[in-house]
Parts: sequence; structure tokens; C-alpha cells
Amino acid sequence: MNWILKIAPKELRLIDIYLRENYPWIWATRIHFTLYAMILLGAFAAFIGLITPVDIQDPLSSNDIMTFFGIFMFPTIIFMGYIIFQLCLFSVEKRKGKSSFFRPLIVFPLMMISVLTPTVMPFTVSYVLNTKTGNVIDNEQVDFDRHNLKKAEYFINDGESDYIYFDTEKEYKNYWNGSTSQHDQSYRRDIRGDIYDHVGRFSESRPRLYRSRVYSRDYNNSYYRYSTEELSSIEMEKSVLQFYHDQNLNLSLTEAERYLDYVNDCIERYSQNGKLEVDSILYELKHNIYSDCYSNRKYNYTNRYNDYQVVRRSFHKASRNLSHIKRAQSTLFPRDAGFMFLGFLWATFIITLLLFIFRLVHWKQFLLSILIIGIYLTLIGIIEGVGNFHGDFFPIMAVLFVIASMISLNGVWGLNKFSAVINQMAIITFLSLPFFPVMILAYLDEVLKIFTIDYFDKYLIEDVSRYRPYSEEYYELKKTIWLVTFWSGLVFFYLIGLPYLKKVFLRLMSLPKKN
Amino acid sequence: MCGEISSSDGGLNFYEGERKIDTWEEIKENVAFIPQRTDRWWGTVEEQISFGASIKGIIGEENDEKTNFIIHRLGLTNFRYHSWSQLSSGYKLRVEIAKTLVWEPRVLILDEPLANLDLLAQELLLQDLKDLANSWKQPVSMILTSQQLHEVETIADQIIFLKNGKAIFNGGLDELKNQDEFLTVELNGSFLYDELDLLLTSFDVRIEKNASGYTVNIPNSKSIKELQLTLINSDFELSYFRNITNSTKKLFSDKY
Repeated sequence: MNWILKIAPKELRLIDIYLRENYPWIWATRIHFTLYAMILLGAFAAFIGLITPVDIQDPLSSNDIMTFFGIFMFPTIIFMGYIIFQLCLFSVEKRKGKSSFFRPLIVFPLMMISVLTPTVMPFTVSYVLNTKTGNVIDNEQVDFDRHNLKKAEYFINDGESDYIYFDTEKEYKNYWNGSTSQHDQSYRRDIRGDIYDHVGRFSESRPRLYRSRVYSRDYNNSYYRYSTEELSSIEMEKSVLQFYHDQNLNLSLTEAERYLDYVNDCIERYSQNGKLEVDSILYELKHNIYSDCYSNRKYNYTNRYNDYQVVRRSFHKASRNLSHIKRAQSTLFPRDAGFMFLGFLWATFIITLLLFIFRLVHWKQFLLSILIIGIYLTLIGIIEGVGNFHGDFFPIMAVLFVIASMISLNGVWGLNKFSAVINQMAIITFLSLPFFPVMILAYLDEVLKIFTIDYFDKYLIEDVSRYRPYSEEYYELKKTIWLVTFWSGLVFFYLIGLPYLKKVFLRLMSLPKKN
Repeated sequence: MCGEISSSDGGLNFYEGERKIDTWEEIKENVAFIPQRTDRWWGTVEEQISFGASIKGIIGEENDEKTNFIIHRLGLTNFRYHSWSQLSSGYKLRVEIAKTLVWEPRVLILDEPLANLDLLAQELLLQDLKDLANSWKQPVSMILTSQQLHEVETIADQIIFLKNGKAIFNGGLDELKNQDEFLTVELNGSFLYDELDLLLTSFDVRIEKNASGYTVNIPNSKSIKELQLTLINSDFELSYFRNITNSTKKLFSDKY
């Protein structure tokens, strides 16, 4: 990383020398370089984010921001590779430096941070773009606009397919009582066309149409698309919706006009596409002739289509843009960034595990262990498949393999020559130890079905053949057991396994090889 | 000896004062080994040497001082910011030695350190090794293997000559001289074996022909000077003459 030193400020060069001369085990993690690089890379990503145009009429959606995230993944992965390479270069252990039992407790997280630092790029760019999107307009204005647009939705048929048409109140009620027959459904489809074209029994007038928004995409999606804070406002909307549902009231034209005018204001502000024809909509409302198009012009498909496009382009775009802005205001990062971070964290943990081993063993031994694990798992997988063991053979053999590795480590203290076998066992133990408790629990759960023993019968609320026959308490308990096992495995590995196994590797490393 | 491979027979004991060191971890904290082919390293010369010192507990100002001292001592001052790929084989070896000496091992073992060096570099390195071994500040016991016998003999206090896996000589060069009743020289010139044999009849010689000329053994009762005079006064032209009586080189002879 000498190229970084050339462009680094004097302070970093001094830190570099200080760490090298006083704390070589920290220096070898390259943490000072990676943190400095993080600042540079973060600044670069922030700069790209800042010069990317974000407009109130063209705010970025979560997906748009994640596209930027994805683009920055390429330099991130390249830089990660470079840091991994750097972490392989200086090994205190391979050069037989002085060590202390608990030093790995500091080195391991520092190495993780070093590997993780390049991810600052995608997260910074997505944070900047998200913030820019959220700042295109005041929070209060967005909340006000969203509220009004939601209200206005009841006066606009926006072409969504989840509108249900009923020509009588009885039909409407039957539908909600669950007594709608197949015949009724096809009948409704037929009359829908008649309503559209003012033909048949609707040649002179339109029936009273009952619209249901219960299947509306916006409505249903609200539960997972919005933050907790937003959900409370959605709940309020739900009650309004339910009110219209239950009552199926004529909507107030005065109120309709007010909200439709407001929609046009929002369209002007957020989309700048064509505005709604408020008079046309009011006419339809007045004559109670809802359809999946608000046009009142008979047989004029072209116009109807155009009007529909206005709704699609203008109203929908304004709503969509508002949603993007609101989401950006409610969160620091786009929707999937959290999952990405978790993914990075896990990948980094595994990489650091491998790096740690690499610094403690010869690279040939390291590659050999990967080969052995691969061959062993393939073999027991084949035996499992051929032998028709119903999934019992593979897990037990995997668990036994790890247990055998652990037991064999005892032999290391009595050795007076290097043993490649015990070295391999130590590598396998090191790789599997963090996950060993989970492996055991998985075996107990999946193969021995420990969570269905008599003890848990007290949680049974339905017949065991049903889906989720136990009470919620049972599933919560099971989830807690899994979580505790998982985290205790990691903590045990970190506090005890890591220092102990390092000592094992140092012992193996010091022994003379066979003549 | 340095714990790289296990011994097939016998044993070695390491002592620190009266205390016997019996674990390989501790032995390797005192004994350093520089193999013939060193692994590639990364970073600069200075980083490598300073890092080598600090991991052994030489930290702070002491680290700085020792790093500078050893860099200067081994003539690496102009190369301190060079990387591995910017150094010649000789300087790579110097860096290896510097990386090792900076943490002050009690014993330094070098495997064929002269193998990849030109003549000038060999001389320089041997002189450096001799100076370091005799340093008043930081004397180090050194064990090195080499096939450049003449060069190594100029600095070695003690030599172990291995032949077919057996030590056929173990001692100082003076002991070698007193070991037998022959004086041995290497020579070459414009003569054939028979002509040389005829010329040196009066010396009761034993002549062996080898690739570079002849190895001549004369009894102790004669002197090297007599031999030289005989050769100079003859009609033959002498192109090479070297007295190896005090050299382990004579141990290559079939006589041994």
C-alpha cells in the first residue's frame, strides 16, 4: 500500500511508522490505510452522488439508488480483493513474532473492518442519493400532499384492475358474504363491457357501481412498503377506505372538486405531465357512473384511452414520485441496503476466517484443507444419494467429521514433529467451530425432530398434521433457541476458540517437518 | 539444526545459560535460519526490517535505531525504500540477513548464502558476516553451508566437512594442517600427467588429475618452496598454483 503513502498526508505516514514500530500486529491489519482509503473512497462516492441530478419531478426510487449501489459494487469488490491481498502480506505468526493469547480478539475485528471498508462506496453513494431525494421538498409538504392524494384517489378511477363492479347492492353484499357464484362472476364481467359502452340494459343510464379497493395493490402493499411511522397513517386510511366500503356512500362533489384540484396541483409539482379533466370526472361522479375510465364520452375509445393515459402518466407519476420522496425521507438508505450490509458482513466474516487461517498455515496446507473438505462433502453427499438415507447420513457425517477434528487437536501438544493430518484437522475445526452449535441444533431439529418431543405438546393448539399447529409462543421459543445457539457459537469461537486455535497453529508451525 | 526438518538421528541441545531450552517455539525465538531460496516479500526494505524487529519486541525508538543501524551496517542505505523486485540477488540476501539480525538471534544459520552471488558480492558479504560475528555490540554465532571453500575458509573459525553424509573433519584450519603428513597443492600448466610425474619424481609425490588441473601431495619432509622452485626451473609454463594444505579443499581428494 505504498502508493497510498505517496498521496497520504504527513500524519498518516507518521501513524504508519508509529504502528509499525510499536504495534506491528495492528500495522499488519492495514487498518490505518483502509480507514484512510475509506475516507477517500467515501468522498469520491459522495461526490458522484452529489453531482447526480435528482429532481422533484424525477426523484430516485429505491431501485434507481440500488442501481448506483450495484455500479459501485465493481470497484468495491476489486478493492476488497486488494485489501485481502494486503492482509496476506505481513504475518506476525509466520515470522515467528511474539504473541499473546488474547491478541486475536483485537486483530480479528480489525481485519474484518479492513476487509469491510471498501463497502463505504456503495453505501455512501446510496446514502447521498437517498438524502438528496428526501430533500427535494419539505417533509411536511410531502405528508400533506400524500394525504390529499390518498383522499383524491376515491374520486379517480385510475385504471387499476382491482375495481369490482356490482350492479346492485344485493350483489355487492353477497360478494362480501362470500356467496358470489361462478355465474355471478362471469355475469359481472359481461355487464362490465355493457357499462363501458352504454349498451344493453345500460343503453340509457348507468347503474350504481360499487367499487372495492380492498384488493388494491397500493393498499395491500402498504404493510411492507412503508415504515412503522407511515403505517400508522396507513391504518388511518384503512379506516377511511372501510368506511367507503361499508357505506358505499355517494361522495361529496364539493369535496371531490377540492381534492381533484389538489391532484392537479400535485401533478404540476411532481410530474408536470397533463392534468386531469376535473369537469369530466365531476360529471361522472354526479351521475354515479364510475367505470375503469372516468371519461363521459360515449364510444370515444380514443379519448377514453387518452384520458386514461393522463391518469397513468400524471396522477400515477405524481403518486409514485411522492412515494419515492417519502420513503427517502423516512429512511437513511434504500430498501435493500440493509440486506446488502448483512450480506457483506457475513461475507467479510468468512473471508476474515480464511485470512486468519492463511496467516497461520502454509498456503499449500490451506489449499489442501479446502480440497479435503470439498472431497469429503462430495463423498458423503454421493453416499447419501446412493444409499437412500433420507437425509440422515450427510448431516451426521458432517458433524462427526468436525467432532473428530476437534478431538484430534489434543494430540498437538504431544507432537515432536509436524503432523499434516493434525494441521488439517485444526483448519477444519477453525472453519467449522463458529457454526458448530448451529450444526448440532440443525441436526437435532431436522433429523431427530427434537422440537416435536412430548415436552412441546403443551404448545399444541391444532392437529399436528395442520400447517403451524403450535401456538405463536412455541415458534417464538424455537426462534429464540436458534438465535441463542447461533450467537453463542460465534461468541464462543471469538472468545475461546480463536485464541486457543491460534496457539495450536503456532505450536504446529514451530515443529520441524518430517525428514 | 534450525528446526525446519526433523533429525533422522542424534539430537541437539539448546541452552540459555544453564537452562536447557526444550520447546521448538522457544528455540526458534533464538535461532534464525536463512534458506538458500528466500520467499518473496512485500513492502519496502525498511518496512521489512522494522517489522521484523517490532514483532520480536524491539519497539519504539529502539526499533528505529536498530533498523537504521542494520540498514547502514549492511550497506542498504540507498535501498531502504526499494521493493523486492528492485533488488539484485545479493541485496535480497542482505535484506534477509538484515531482517534476521535486527532482532538479534543468538544463532544465525545460513544455507548456501554465496550460491547466487558474483565474486565481488561474495567477498563483500563474507566480510560483512565476519564483521557482524565479531561485532562488540551485537556478536552473533553463525553457521553457514557453502561449497565456495576458499572464500568461506577466510572467515570461518570452525569447519565441518561433510562427505557422503558424514562429517569427515570438524575443527579449525590449523587442526587440518596437523592432521596428516602430506602437503597438498593444486597446480596446472603446459605439462601432461606423465611429464609432471617425471618432473616431481624426487618428491615422492602422489598426483591426482581433476577437471581444473592436478592435485599434488608431497611428504611433510619436503617444502612447498622446493616444489615451486622445481616447477619454475623446469621448461614448463606454470599457469596455476595453490597451496591447499590448510584448506578443506584437500578433503575432496580420494585420499580422504
